[in-house]
Amino acid sequence: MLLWLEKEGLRRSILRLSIITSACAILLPATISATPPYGDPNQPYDRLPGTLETPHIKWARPLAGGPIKALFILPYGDSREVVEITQRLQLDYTVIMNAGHTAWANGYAEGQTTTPLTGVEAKLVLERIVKQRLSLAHEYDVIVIGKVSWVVIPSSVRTRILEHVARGSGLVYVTPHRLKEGYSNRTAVADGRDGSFERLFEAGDEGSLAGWIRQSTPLDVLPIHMIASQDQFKPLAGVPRHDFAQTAMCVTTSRHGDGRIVGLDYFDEETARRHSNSLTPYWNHPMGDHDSVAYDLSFSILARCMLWSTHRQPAAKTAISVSAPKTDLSTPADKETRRLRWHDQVAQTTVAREALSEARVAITADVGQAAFIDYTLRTRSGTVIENAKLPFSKSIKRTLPTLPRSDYLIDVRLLDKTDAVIDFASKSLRVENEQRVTHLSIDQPWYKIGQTISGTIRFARPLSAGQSVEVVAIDTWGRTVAEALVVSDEAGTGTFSIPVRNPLSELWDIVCRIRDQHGIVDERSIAAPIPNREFDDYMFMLIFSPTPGRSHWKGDLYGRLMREHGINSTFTYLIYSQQQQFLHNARQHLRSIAYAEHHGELLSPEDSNRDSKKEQPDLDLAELSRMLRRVAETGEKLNSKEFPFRMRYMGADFINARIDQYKQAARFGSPFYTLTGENYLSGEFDARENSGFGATTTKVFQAWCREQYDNDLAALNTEWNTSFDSWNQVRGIMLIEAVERDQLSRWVDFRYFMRSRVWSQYFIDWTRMMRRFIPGARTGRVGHDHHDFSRYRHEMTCSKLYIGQEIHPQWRHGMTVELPQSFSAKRGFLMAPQSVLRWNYDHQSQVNRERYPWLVLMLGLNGFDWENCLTNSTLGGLSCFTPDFSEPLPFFEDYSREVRTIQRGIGKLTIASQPHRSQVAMLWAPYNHYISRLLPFEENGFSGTWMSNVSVIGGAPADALTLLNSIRIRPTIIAPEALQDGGLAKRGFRALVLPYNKGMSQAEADAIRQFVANGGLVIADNDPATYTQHGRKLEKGRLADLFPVTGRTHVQKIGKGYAAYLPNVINGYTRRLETDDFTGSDVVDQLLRKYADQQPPVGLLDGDGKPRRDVFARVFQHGATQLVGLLCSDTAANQKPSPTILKLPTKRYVYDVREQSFLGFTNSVALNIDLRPRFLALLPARLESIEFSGPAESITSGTDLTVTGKVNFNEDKSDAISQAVHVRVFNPQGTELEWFRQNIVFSGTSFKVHLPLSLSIKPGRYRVIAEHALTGAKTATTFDVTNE
Amino acid sequence: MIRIKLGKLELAVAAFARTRNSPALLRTLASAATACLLSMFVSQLSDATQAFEPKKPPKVIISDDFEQWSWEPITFSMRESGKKRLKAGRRLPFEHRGPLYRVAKGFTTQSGRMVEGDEAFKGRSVLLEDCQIGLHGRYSKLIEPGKTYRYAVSLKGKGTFHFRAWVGANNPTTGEFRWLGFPNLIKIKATKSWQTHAGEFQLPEFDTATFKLPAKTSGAIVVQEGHQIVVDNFGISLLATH
Repeated sequence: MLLWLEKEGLRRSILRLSIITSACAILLPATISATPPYGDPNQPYDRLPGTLETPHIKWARPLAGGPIKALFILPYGDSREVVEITQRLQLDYTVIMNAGHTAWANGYAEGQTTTPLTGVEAKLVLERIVKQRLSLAHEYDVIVIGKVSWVVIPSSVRTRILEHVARGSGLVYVTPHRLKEGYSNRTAVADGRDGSFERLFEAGDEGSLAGWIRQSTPLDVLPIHMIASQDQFKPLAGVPRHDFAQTAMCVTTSRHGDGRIVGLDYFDEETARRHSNSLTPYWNHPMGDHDSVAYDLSFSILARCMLWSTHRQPAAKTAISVSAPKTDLSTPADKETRRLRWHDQVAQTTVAREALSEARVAITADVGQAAFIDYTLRTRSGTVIENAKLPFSKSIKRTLPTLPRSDYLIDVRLLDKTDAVIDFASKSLRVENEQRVTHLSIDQPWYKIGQTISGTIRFARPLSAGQSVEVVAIDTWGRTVAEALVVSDEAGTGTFSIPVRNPLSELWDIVCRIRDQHGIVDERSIAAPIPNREFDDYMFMLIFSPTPGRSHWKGDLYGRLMREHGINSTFTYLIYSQQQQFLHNARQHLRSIAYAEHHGELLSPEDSNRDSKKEQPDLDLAELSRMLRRVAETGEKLNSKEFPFRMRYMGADFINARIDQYKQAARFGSPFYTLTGENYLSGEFDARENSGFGATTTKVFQAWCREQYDNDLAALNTEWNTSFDSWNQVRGIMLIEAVERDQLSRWVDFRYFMRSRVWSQYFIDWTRMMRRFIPGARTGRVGHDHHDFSRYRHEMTCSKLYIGQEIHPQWRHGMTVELPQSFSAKRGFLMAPQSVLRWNYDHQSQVNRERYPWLVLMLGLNGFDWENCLTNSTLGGLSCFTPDFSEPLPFFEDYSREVRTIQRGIGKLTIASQPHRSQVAMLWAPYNHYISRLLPFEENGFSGTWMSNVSVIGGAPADALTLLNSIRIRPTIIAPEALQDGGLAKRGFRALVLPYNKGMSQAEADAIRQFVANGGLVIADNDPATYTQHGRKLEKGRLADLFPVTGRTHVQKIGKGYAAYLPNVINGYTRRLETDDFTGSDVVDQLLRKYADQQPPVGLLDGDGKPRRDVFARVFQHGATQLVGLLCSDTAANQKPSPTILKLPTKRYVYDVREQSFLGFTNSVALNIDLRPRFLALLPARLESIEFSGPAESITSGTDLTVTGKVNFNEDKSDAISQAVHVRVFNPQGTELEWFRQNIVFSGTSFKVHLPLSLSIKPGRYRVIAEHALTGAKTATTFDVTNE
Repeated sequence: MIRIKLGKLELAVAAFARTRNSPALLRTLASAATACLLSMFVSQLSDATQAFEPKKPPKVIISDDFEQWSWEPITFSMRESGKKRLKAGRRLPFEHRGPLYRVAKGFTTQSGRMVEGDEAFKGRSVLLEDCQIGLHGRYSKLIEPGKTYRYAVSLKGKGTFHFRAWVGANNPTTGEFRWLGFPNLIKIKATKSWQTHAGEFQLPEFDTATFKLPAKTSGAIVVQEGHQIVVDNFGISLLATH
């Protein structure tokens, strides 16, 4: 922590307080919305604690002559870069954060509860900040503008800036430009020319500053191409600007009054936002690497500009030179990236390795007050080899050690006698050698555990007598995990093999090194992926956020920081073929979750504007399905001549290209592959469907209709009100035509067919195709519910579900969760969404933030994601950190705390458990969706919100599910085919609920009738079976005998069973529950108890002994262990805690898992329930103790250590008790070795901790700690690693 | 109001109230202005009046003849309000078949029921009862404060035809929104047989010291419960600024 930063922080806090006070007085009426207002602890705008330190060189810190007083004007989202420059140049800084490079106060914002400041609030707050911080009462040594467009800065602010300059402040304008206002504008430049702008920022000559930068910066090895004037800038031909792997740089200088102005132009105003560069240049490494050394050096360039503008540049310049015997050795350039650059990044000074002892580094400087020289030799990647503080002399010569073949940097800082920096410089150096590793390859693209990595190597020449070679495997934790025996021949080639055992990362780097008596001569490495395809713990995933391999410094930093807060995975852009992201994720220990495709019929923006009244025959998903099936059958790519069909870019070539990508993606694990997001059949979202008229689709429709109508065309004509003479005439119909021709049944059939047999079939086919190349790949979606889930039994079983972010998600969004869970059981991988775009319900209070992660677990999901669009142009918001990432915001700490609790074993145990389900089925026949659409004013629909056409939220099935869940009877949703052949009885169902089954086939009706006759209970509402399954109204309902009375509640015995009709008992229940009205629940509860023997697995009674309907409860079973989650509804009645009795069928030892407390041995648990989530464990025995067996072991590196733990219970019923322990291992210095962190699920009284020690583990005593996930009991042991 | 017979057509002319608070004064003003305005009103309605067309023609901003109708999906809000309406025993204000409802060209939401044949003024007209139409889309952001508008509309039926403004305003300092009022810009009692009415209106003046009016204010045709009016040829023109 830097003290001056603290003081500065305090000063700014006082200033902020004064602004808040004045602003709030004005803003009160406008800021009552949910956005955390300016000054709120959860509003990150204008907060820069500056306490997070990142790797850097203190180029000018401390600075001789004291700190520079600087004012920065730059976008909020990039303001971390002020802290970055301050780490390197001693500053006393003030910051004005605006919205973006092309937005002053009005940035990106979504909705009424958007988290950034918007509208009047944004305008006023920024105005006040500018007024105070840019007041002429302040004197700044320099003002720095970070790529904010000159025309976007209000003219009064520009005038004030120039007034400061005129009286002597320096001005450094990084990438001066005149893009027009508009946060999404990237290219439109302000009209006309601005002579003043050009004179100030573009027209000055290079001058001494440019020379200083050129002389003291190793530009030869940096992705920076320095040019002398603006007109020398020539874009790279054929390369989009955002793909430039190098930046151009032009430094101009001018004067305004007494002030010096620097234009530091990186020509990147159109792209810099992508990587959050406001004080540094934008470049894009083709492999997504963040070059932290180049990033560091670009701050040294800025530092020089700031020093020059404040007249603080040293009078004489420091110079570094390297002399060595001349060599003909040269360094090969990277040919693949050459087209993305202006020059190859090769050091201009090359020293032959064998001549290193003769080489000399000369440092010359002529600065009077210099007392020392701080000398550093480091690798190009930043590893320090030598650092020495030398007494100053005008010319110093240093020898170089023997170094491996590589690039190096020599850094020099001139220090005065107080160690303050007077000047600094850096120079590159290449060490070359004739002998080198010219080739390294391995035999497979990826390896399974137990396989052997076999590889070949080649050297430039045969190994000499003094040379040896080694091949090692190093995991992503930096551990040497294997050493290989190399078999080499006299021709300079070799082979090796490494068995894959006990990997603790998804990637091993296979490194081949040539050594001689001086050390490493040369080394080369290749990545060997070892995909981990197990995803059995609670995921907390980054989505649409900066992420490693994509977002330069921010992605690199954010990925590392978020892991400390429980983030363990990240959305990975396979869709954009960004294979490198998988590698980056593996190196940063984040699991990849592949965003593979975004398929649907909206493939370009124009597709959203197709004429909704015209058929769109070019859309033919069924033909694409046919093509996919061919690949799935053959495993071969498609011949585009045989399959010429294209739907925009979707065609054989596209599929073939994706196959190549999938083969590569198979190198890493992903719990599922997202195939579609918010994409739809054309017109589907707003109920104006116009596709389904393609040639193949029509053929498939004809075949489907033949099957549906038993090849009886007359039956079809009767149903549809058509008069077709042949099946070839059968085709789909637009809704308007169906209305006008009174053929709505035809439309119902057609649209159901499209959703079920075209849309859903397409994703099934895509999955099967994909599995040819990614074995066992699971697929799914992000987005809405416009799918026939009854078809997703083995494919498309996964999803990011659209739930939460509003009140009562456990009730309102139940269908979204239950449908995939019912149909795919445990074969799916389901996640919830969370986002900081809006200050949604889940964020709004601490208890809400505690609830959400537990709700996700109780719902049986595998975790949730976290959306932070941190590269948007906004004025605040959209973040869970202060903009410099120094401090997490309080709201995020609440989430993080709960997530990390769940990730200590209870999450994994719950995910491994079986959820309790009652013997109750609920029939969901998706063609009823279209029948319901014919009846817009019916009491309750098949779905119910404004997005009812693409969502299953709301409507009668959702109400039925809410009601059943509220009486703790969890049903299983079934499809019509489950009724056939006595299916209900075979699966053990005792009751069937028909919430919305107006459309029903005769076969379905007969099966239900039989089910009742045999003793089943059927409960119905909303006129079941009063339409055919095709949507034709029946004169007499097909279940009229079961439900003869529909005007009131009516129950009748039929055969051995019962049929109950409950008009408007189910309808509206969700809405009633939200207002503490549980009308309807008792009657259903009684019917299920009385006629189907269905009772909830646990009971909940209020203080009066009445059942509670307002507590969402979930019960999970794993062996003899039961886990019970309870989440009280956020209703008016529950704003205070209320006494509640949890009734259990038998006595159990009850633990509160969240509180890690023992509640007693009882079948009646007294709870005081409030809005906080409760998670209980019910065990048949009480845990007495947990301990590791055996004394400390003494072992050597490379050992596969297994430590056994023991759990003692008070009763001998423990064999079937399933539990989890959370294990951590600490090194002798007390630092956790994260790679050993694990959750172990086990049954009985012992567990084993497997710790494969690396070959590079250091000697010493290591500590192992195990924490029992259910009880919190802990134990520890140690092991000693000895040096053999 | 003055009535003029033009063949089968009866023409009613009115100068409409500027504010709701001074009807007496305005009635006087209206009477005095009627003679001057009459020629201009008539010019829009009949070939016979073409000769009276002013030198600078008014800018037509609404011209609804309700001749073209299409079937469109019933929206969620229409479903919700329709359900409540039907439960309350009220008739839906539009025609629907399955999931589609019939809407007049130019309207983005319900626009009444189409009538044709003898019931229509000519071709097709719209039957309005217990509804308001045009607030969203057709007549939104239509009326500029301080400007004068000319209207013409053909009506028949029972009850009163209103063209009402939804006057909302924002406080530019705080961003707060507030409704300032819902004045009737046109208010005409319908007659059993077709009559064409014409007149002028302006948005009334409001206290805009704190809350500023938007550049344009929205309006809607309103026909209250129990009233039933067939409407046709509803036109609004912006008069040239004098």
